[in-house]
Amino acid sequence: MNSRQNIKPKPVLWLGLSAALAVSIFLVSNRNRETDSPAPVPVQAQAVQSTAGQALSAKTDHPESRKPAAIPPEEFIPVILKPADAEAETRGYEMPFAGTNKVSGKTTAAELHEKLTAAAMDGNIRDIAMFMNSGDPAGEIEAVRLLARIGGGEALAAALGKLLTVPADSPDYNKFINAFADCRSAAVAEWLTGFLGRTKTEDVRQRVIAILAALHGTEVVDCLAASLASPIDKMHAKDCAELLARASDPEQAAILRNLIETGKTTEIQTSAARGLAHVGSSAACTALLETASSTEDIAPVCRAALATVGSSYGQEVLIRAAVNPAVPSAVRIAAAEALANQPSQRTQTVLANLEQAAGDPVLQAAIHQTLQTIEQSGTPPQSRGTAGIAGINGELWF
Amino acid sequence: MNGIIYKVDASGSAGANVIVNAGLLTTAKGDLTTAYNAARDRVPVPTGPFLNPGAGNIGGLNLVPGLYKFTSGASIAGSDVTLTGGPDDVWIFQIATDLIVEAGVNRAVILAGGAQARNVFWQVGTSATLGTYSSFKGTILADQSITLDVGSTMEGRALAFAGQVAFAGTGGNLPLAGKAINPTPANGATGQVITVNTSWQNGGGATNYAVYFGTNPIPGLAEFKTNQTALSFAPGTLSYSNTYYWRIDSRNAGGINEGDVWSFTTANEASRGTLQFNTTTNSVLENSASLTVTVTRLSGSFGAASVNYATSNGTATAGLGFDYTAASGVLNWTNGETASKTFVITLLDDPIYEGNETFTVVITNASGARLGIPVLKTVTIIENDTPSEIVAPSIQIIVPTTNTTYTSLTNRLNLGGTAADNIGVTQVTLRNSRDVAVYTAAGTINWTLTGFPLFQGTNLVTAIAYDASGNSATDTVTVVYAGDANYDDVLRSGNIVQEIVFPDNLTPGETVTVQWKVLSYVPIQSRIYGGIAGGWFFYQNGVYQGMTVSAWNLNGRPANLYAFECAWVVPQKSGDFDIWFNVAQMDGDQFMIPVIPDGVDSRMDPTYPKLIQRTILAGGNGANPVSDPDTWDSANIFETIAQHKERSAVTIIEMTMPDNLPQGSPVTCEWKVQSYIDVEAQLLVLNLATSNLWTTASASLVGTPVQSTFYFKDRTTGVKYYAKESTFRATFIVPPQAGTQQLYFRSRDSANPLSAWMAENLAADVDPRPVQENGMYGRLIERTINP
Repeated sequence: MNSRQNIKPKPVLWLGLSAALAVSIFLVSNRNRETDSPAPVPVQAQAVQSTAGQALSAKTDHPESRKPAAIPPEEFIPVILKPADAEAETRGYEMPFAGTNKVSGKTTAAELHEKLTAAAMDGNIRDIAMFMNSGDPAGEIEAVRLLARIGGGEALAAALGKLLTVPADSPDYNKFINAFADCRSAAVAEWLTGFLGRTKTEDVRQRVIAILAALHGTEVVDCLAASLASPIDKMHAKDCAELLARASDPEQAAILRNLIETGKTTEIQTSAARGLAHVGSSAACTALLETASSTEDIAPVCRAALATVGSSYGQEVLIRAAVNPAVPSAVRIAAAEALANQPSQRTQTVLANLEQAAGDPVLQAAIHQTLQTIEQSGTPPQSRGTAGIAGINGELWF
Repeated sequence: MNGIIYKVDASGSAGANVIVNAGLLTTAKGDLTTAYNAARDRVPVPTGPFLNPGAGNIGGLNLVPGLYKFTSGASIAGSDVTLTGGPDDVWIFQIATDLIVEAGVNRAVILAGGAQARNVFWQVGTSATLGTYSSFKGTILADQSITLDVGSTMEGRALAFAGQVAFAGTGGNLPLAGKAINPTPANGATGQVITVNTSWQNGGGATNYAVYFGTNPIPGLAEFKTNQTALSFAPGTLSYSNTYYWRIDSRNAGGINEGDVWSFTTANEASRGTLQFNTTTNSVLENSASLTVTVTRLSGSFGAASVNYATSNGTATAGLGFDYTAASGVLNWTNGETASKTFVITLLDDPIYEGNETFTVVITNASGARLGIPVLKTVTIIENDTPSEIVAPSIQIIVPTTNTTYTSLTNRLNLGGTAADNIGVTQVTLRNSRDVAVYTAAGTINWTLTGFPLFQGTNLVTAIAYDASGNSATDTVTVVYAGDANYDDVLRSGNIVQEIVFPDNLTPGETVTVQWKVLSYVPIQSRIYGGIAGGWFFYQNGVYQGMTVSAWNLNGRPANLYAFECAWVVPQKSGDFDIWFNVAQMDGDQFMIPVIPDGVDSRMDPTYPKLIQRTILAGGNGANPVSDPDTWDSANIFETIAQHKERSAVTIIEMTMPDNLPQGSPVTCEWKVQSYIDVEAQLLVLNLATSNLWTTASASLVGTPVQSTFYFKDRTTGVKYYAKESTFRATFIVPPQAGTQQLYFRSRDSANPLSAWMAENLAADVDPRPVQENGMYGRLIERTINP
């Protein structure tokens, strides 16, 4: 059970967030008219205390080399001590050794991370925010992530400002958004959901949709469902419904199931069912199986959603349902149809044998159709150039 | 002069600090009118010593607080005037005409006994003149003009209606703000919650506050928290049974007025109470609709509290078609609430006799209160069905053999047999000790299973028959499949993590879902483990959830993407921590660490290609993390030292490889690797377009391997084994194919010619040219061949 608490910024910070974002969005709206250069990101000047910064710690020893808290620190005594490597750490049996970067000569990811970590330890939002315009995509993305971690109106406003101004055609666009995805702020979700209905600028609308679709946690589902219950206009309703149906975080399975059972409108229930299918985790599939097996009016919608599950995280749950005679036939058919979306020898073997085992002719026909779909749509595994590599000793050619 | 001059329009004087703001001036003038009238009209009209004191010249007088009236002018001459009173006492002087302070003799207004300049007001009917070198205190509200002559100083404000304020003095200060007042919690308060917020009121004139907070009875620089305008401050989560001291310094342009030191004491931790089940067991009939479980709060109710609850399978199974519906959630208590809380578990009645079954309910992650005893409850579902029969079915494997062993020449086996039961066989399933998945046979009395997967070596195949009463029986056959010559090679060739779902910015104690997929040619088990510097780490087994075939294929063998999932309890330790992913063959205990290619995890990995990082936010209770007991208690979960050395992979740490290669010409490449064993190495040039191999170049060892500072330690003996660093050099002829091509490095145990070649890993940033996404992340480099 997820026990996160909703984190709402204090009103004064929230006003700051709104104001800073308003400036950001103004910049987005005017960007094309003025210049191609990146728009400045609004940053509040006031520093904040960061408990998160204190969390940043030294690198970790590989745990295999000692038991927890029982092994005292070791003295490192190399037989041949090389000064350049004197600071190297033990990382364990496998050797994820550090790179030396003696070839490239540019700032390494490690160095960049070190600088940002120092800024985060100080909790200085302005220092971190400066990295968002450093020109180094890795540093800019990391800065967004650190601001999302620090949280609060000022930090989140600065990060959101960056997300709303980074070019949408940038190859790193999604990385920026993913770095923000774990901010877990109900206030951000609420503001974005509301703003989605108010904005009249298509570019901004698409950006807001992209951010909302990436946000993790239950907060965004709550906000989307609330907006769907009383949308600003038809477009807002359509966007919220589609976003709900594009849920992907496994942590959202429980709340989506709850929406199926208690949603105020059929549209909310339907979107929630589609969202569960899109999440596709074992918990999500279990929830869909149970709601699809119920006698409620929404059951057919859930069965339809179940048939669209494409994630292999729900595969074993679907297989168990498909072969279980205690499960209603219509639900077994939906589960079997979903397995067609996950081609593998495993699913094909299961379905082929199930076709023989199923006593229900309707189920048999559905499975037969599913197997045909797999055979017709599935391209055989492609050889990816193993000819020279695997001939003698065959190490992995990934 | 420091500050800003405001003017009505552009016709006024110019300068860097001159601003046009007619509206602001209008507001200021209105405020001055209000203040002037309030001072002038204040009643009762002074009499006696408060009317015309000193016959108009108050020089040499010592005046107590109060309202003084002058029916004509007032002056301070011949001697200084002293105003004696406390910091909150007020003096108001109503002067009908002029106020004149004697010039040239350092005449002064002296404040005594703690009197404050901010509490002294001079209402002047015409104009005020502060003579040369005089020292004045208080706010002058003049109808006409105010003149501060050469050398004069003033602590206060000079505000005039009609005329000008002419300043020729040497300096002036605004009066200090009053001390902050009315603290919350009250000074000396006890029994406060550990999340208490402090607040106070403006003592007069403060524009912002310096907040000091801590356990030091004399708050100093170390206790300084922030400067702020707000009238409240949240110190965060405090400790129980602790006294905290805080001070609010009032600030304005006149300076800082240090506040009083206030204190409060937090409540005793025990007063929060304990949370526990009311009983250790519950029994419920299988045909009951639900079971209500009670959690009590005893021995205290101070502060809000919450606790997580969750069910866990025992012999009873949660889920559709089984015994009960899994339940989990959070129970919350408000401050002072002692009532028990309940949650409901739905029971599922089936017509099958299964005997009594049990599952458990636990409460965890208590917040605001301690966990008591018991926190684990065993629920027994009492069977309501008649034990119609307890006869186990029979089952026999007939195809491919009725013997106990069989040798297969293919990696797919068709199985068949018979099963019987007095009330009928409901299902036959088969599983392979080498496989991660279970298969359901077609048919029951005469059952078959087509295409059952086998793997190189010994496969223990178990067939299980079930009847409607839940009775079961098994038959086994050991199948040897020796036809896969490359099995050991692919087993050693490593794996790659392809997808990771691992939340970030984690809250201590919460349970999150972690998902990952591993690309492998053989069925695998997988787990995560991680830790942080300072001695804590955890293990968690992944639960297999499904697989899909990948595009990768090795001599006809498709690689599969295996999906794993686990519910993971976030440790109560804050900070960044590392997470590794382990994989092992199904019947093995030899775990390897797969590569996590760039881009698979959204979070920046500064250095290491085999781990990811996450952050746990502050607020945990410091308890050690929860590990999966099945993993933690496993014996011999790691390989032998020799196996480790051989299979620990080789990592390239330095490289010199030119770019823009000329076709047909020889090119030499050097690279340095780290390994735990002596290795021989090769360089392979691949054709990206055709997926063929252009050439293989054997590498020669340059010099003698030297010892690295990296090591691992035998957990039993404590012996450290240091890695070696070896430099290799290889020369190859550049293929006649312009464009981007890929180079790949591999190595194997030089002491064992039968050992498998393994891909060498590329440490981060070793090669300056980024590799395009092609699936072989972290294992190759790219170069351009010129036309």
